[in-house]
Amino acid sequence: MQRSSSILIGLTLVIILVSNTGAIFPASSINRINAIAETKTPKIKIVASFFPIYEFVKRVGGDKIDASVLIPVGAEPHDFDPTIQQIQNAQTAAAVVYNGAGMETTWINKVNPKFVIDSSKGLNLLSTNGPEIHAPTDPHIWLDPILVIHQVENIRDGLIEVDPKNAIYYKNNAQSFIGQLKSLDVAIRGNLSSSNCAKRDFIAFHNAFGYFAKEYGLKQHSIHEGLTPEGEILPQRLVEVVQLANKIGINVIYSEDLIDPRSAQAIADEIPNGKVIVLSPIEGIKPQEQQQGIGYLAKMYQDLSDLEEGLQCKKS
Amino acid sequence: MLFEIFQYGFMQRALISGIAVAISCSVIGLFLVLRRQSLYGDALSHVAFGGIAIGLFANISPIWMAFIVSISASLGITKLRQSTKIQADSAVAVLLSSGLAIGVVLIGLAGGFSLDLYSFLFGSILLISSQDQAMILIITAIVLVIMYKIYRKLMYIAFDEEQANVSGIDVTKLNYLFIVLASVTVITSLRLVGVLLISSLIVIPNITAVMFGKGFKKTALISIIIAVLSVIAGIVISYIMNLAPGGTIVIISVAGYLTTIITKYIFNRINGTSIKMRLEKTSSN
Repeated sequence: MQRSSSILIGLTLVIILVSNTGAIFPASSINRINAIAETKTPKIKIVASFFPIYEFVKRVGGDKIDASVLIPVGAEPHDFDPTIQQIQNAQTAAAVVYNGAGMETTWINKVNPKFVIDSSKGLNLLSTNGPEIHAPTDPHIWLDPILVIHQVENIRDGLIEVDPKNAIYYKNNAQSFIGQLKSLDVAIRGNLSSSNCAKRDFIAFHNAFGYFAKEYGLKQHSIHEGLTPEGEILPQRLVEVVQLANKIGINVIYSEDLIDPRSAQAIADEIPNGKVIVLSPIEGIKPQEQQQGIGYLAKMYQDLSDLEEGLQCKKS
Repeated sequence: MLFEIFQYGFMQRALISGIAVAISCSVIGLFLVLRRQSLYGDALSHVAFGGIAIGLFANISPIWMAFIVSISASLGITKLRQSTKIQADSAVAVLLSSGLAIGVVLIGLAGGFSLDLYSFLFGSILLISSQDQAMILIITAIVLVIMYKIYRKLMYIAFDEEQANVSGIDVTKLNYLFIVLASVTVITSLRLVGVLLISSLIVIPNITAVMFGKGFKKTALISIIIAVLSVIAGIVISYIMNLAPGGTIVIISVAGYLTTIITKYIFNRINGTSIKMRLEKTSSN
């Protein structure tokens, strides 16, 4: 008798808990509806595929859109597979913006959204030089500011198509962001110029900087030869990278912010004055950085100064 | 050739830590095999995986979280086994799946981890840092010293638990101690061969050694020699043929096991025929 009554109490507790959590969500969405009703202008819902695209979308869309990101910003976006909830969320959006160039090939077709904006539309893409993973093209266009200008223009045009009445607003936002990208380009071009830096070669963690290297006349090597940073590293590859670094006379081995840095460290240990520096492929951002308001441009300037050190550039 | 391979620091560290882990795994493994708990190492490593996921999720050092979680889970399951009399293999199944489940759920909750989980699943013997190596050597030394002190009693328990209890050995306490040592060994070895391959280092050298049919001490020694040789051969061959080192070590030790079976079979056949011939000779006389 006592046991059955305690079970009953337990069940009641569970029911109360469940119904409470159920009640919290509708309440918050009611709040949001109220907030929207107050401003009188409903924001259009835009879902971006992963971090840099999300930021580009926010910069162009400003406060006229309600932007969210499909791949969590702290996660490695290669080989990502969305959950059912994420797909449903994307389907309710007015538009889904993605990087393109093969980055989201594995899942973008599953989402089947109302409207898609392919930010890589019209770009000349590089073909892969490593083993093919998903796509025959190198997706890392967001690391080249010149290509990002095109991405921003594609996003701007897409948003105007979805929401024509705010066209001027989107154009102005895009214009000011493009201005910042242009000054980023000038800074990189100047600081990494061949007259300023002793070296032209750098060893990245994976082949993320193909477009960047081509744009600024550098030569990219990498620890992981493929276009994704995963997989167990093989013994001869470690030796090859050590020998390569010694041959081209560089002492900085780059790791990334979202992966295990130990293979870069194992290589750096074998090089005279070897050193590991993080060179972010900006495929995501750590939650702490996001809270501090660090965004795409700040990360790019950080990469620039990391490259200045690795390429032995004169400090300006 | 050998000299060329081991001029690199990461190859030296792989060799030294690999040998240390081979020794401690084969010593712990011998008792696990004798106690018919061959898969316990596997279960512990999966629990450790859950611990690593908790560590990554809560932003606490994953390896220390793995220690805490697997030691407490293994003590808990030992307690459960004693009080509810569930079978050892069922206990292993519970541990294994719950550890993995925690890991998988947390990975889902976090929306994927930034850290390369692959390196925990398959290990990365080449990427051992000097600090990792120091930790592995110290822990191996501690485990071996304690095992040397208690191996007689453990042997007694492994062969006849009730008799050991009657003769005044504190079976419960020793069982707990052994499980803690096993957990510590498994987690220390985790970064080298990974969650999925660890039980091979624990089990295969021992079942190979048992086939030689020697006494306890000799079997333990043979097992250690087999484990160490597989690690050395695995590292050298993986370098020469450019293969994943963890998997190569396991394949070498499995190959050693199969070779022993075949050799023993042929040996028995030859011995058998010679006995037969002798018998025929005596009968014809």
